[in-house]
Amino acid sequence: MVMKLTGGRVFDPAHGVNGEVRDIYVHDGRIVDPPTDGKIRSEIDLRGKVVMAGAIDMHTHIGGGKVNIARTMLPEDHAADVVARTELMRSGCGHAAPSTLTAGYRYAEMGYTAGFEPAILPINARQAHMEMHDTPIIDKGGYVMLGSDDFLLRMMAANDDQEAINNYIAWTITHSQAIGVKVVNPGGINAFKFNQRKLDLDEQNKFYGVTPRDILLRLARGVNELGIPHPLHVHGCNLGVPGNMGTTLDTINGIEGLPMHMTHIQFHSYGTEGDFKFSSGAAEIAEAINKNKNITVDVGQILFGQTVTASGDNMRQYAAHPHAHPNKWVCMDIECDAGCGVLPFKYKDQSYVNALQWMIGLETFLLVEDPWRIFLTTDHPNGAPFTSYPHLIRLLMDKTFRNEVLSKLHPEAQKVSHLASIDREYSLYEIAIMTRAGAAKLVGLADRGHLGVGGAADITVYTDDADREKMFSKPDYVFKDGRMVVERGDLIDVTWGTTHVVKPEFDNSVETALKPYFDRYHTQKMGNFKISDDEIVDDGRGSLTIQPLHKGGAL
Amino acid sequence: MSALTFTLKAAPSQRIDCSPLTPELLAEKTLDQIKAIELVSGKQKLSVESLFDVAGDDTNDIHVANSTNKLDFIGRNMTHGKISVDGDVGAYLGLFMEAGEIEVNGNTAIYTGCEMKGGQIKVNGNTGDFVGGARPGQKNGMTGGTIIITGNSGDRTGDHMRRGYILIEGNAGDYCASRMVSGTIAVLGDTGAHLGYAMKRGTILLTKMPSRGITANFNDCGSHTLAFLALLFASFKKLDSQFANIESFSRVQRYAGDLAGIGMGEILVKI
Repeated sequence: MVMKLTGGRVFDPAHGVNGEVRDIYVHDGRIVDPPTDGKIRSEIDLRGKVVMAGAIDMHTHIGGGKVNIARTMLPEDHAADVVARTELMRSGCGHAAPSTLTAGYRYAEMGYTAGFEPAILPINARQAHMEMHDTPIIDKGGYVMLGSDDFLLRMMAANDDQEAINNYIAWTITHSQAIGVKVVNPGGINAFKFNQRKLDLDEQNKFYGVTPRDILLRLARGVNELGIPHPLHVHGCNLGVPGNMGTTLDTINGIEGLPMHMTHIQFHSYGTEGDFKFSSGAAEIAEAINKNKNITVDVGQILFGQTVTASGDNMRQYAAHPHAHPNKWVCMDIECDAGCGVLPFKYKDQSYVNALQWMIGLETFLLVEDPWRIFLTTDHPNGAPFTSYPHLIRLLMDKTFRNEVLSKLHPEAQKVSHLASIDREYSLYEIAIMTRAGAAKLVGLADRGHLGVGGAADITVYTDDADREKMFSKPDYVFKDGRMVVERGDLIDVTWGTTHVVKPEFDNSVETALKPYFDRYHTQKMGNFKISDDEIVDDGRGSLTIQPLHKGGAL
Repeated sequence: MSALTFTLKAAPSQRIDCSPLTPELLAEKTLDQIKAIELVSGKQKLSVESLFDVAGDDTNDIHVANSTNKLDFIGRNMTHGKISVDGDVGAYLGLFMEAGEIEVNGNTAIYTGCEMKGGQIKVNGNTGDFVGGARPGQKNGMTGGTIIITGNSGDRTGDHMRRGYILIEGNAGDYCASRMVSGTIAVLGDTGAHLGYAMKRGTILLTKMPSRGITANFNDCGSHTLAFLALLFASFKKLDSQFANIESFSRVQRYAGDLAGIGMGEILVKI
């Protein structure tokens, strides 16, 4: 009962395969060796086609409270983009904040087979999982947000030892069913509650006396010691502030060699030069990334048009609210855990700042040398909806196209950028690294993002086309766990992906402090906070995949 | 050429989306093509022919006969021509309408003239709530055009209204001019509770003091002689409405509010 995919040009960077013609055999949802008895159930002729593993979006806001706020707040986003039901697919709507079902279908139609929600608040984790549970076809998982939660800050203020913090991290990741840990504006979300409106890397939280630098070090060390494969996922201080590149460089240098993933780095790479007191810091940031091998980044590229920004960073979202377009916004506190801010935004190509943001993102892509340490994101929906990925890939792979778009942007912004002089064009192999092999390695997915024997048969097949946008918008075939879900760009089958988690070990004595804490301060009891495996599996539609840990311990 | 007439055969059980039946969308279409158009009704699609008897050929002059309050979205996005309706109509009459004319001999349901940009809607009857309003979650209601109501309007008339005129010959319901951004609402009859609730700017013109008085969050600014009122009444002369026959006046008592917000709206009451 083996399916043979014959003669495609395979791009599998995890195994160093760069465009070689290979046959792939699939059995029972997995990639297998050629059958010894030679029996093939079906064969698909892929001669001349480009074959890659299914793409992985390692940072996309597809679930959790803030996405629902965005949906509620933007009826115009839904009314302008209505998808009717078909025999196969359920109806849906939404451009910037699509409904769960529509998000899953659209990802699959672009050849994506996994997406990771980067901001799951522990206290909201159940809802985030339920939304992701309703997102069809793609695999999912999430990074749980720590760093502005009262419990951790109390521990740090009391100078608890690292082991206690590790236990708390592992306990939280386990019971919120996450695969990594994220920190958003470390301590800043909390400081906002004490009326602090900015928080620099070495500035103390008024109440706890803890600095963002301490928080980053404690969490990064904890993640590393617990052996969690995904490095601490950091949304740094001072997002969007001109001159924040200094903070970002300090953050990189201050992490003491620990693995750290800096997310949507574009929003953290701004200088203060020039007449507009806003300039690109991409070159310096890229140089620091090239030099520090412990750092990985995703870009958070912006693309022009209407979208919505949804972030846990209520401090920066509050500061940005005068720019909301249309003029409506939400900032909220969420129990003792954190907060969130949602504001719709329109990036305009004739705005100096927006045009420069676009250039800074692309400069970062092109100046960071190692594609294994940089990832293709728009921070959906903050920079642009994920449906613009094919356009972004074309910008990276086609210098002529890139410069053509560049020439139409705000003229002053063009003058201050070196983007036009950068000749680099990404190859298919590098795209495969960024969106497949590298992403799987970064998130810690042992069986995804590659086409080796034993890997999951998440496979995307494209027709090579000089117009890369066209090529990556409509794959010929997409296989999810061995089942063909897309044929010639159209969805033909709807499956349900698995939820990837890690289960680090911890000492359960952490609950002796947590139980009374929940009883006193939270709106739910500790027992209800815990999400059981059964809830994820539900009636069998969902499933849980426990990914292996790295070797832990101190550096 | 005779008016293109759609006569409803029987009262439908589900609501019907009539947005395809506008002068611009029907232009250049043959009678057979028009009959074959599918209208969304609940979860079904029904052909025009199965719902209506269709006659006539002038797509710039559309007439709907025997209408009921289940016919929604009549005149949606309309940019020219005329639609006249005998009978009640459903929700969203003239949604996003840009120009042209709609006349209804009957009552309308909610969201009449919702977010309309121009043109004229005349309702010879009563309207539902949210006349000239914004869709839920939207910032701006009607941004131009004129709505004339010979009967009474429902609650929340002119909610989020941005520009244009709403002229009510009867009474206005509760929360008239709520969250109004600007524009003009004139009422010949009485108004309900919470007149001008959260009103930012704009004008409410009344020919007599409301029976409930003016709410506490409007400030009495005294009596004024406002020259623009004569011009306003002169502009009403061309309308087919009682407003064309009002004797011009310019002495009014002015109330500013809603003072819970920026308070730049005004209620003008004839004295």
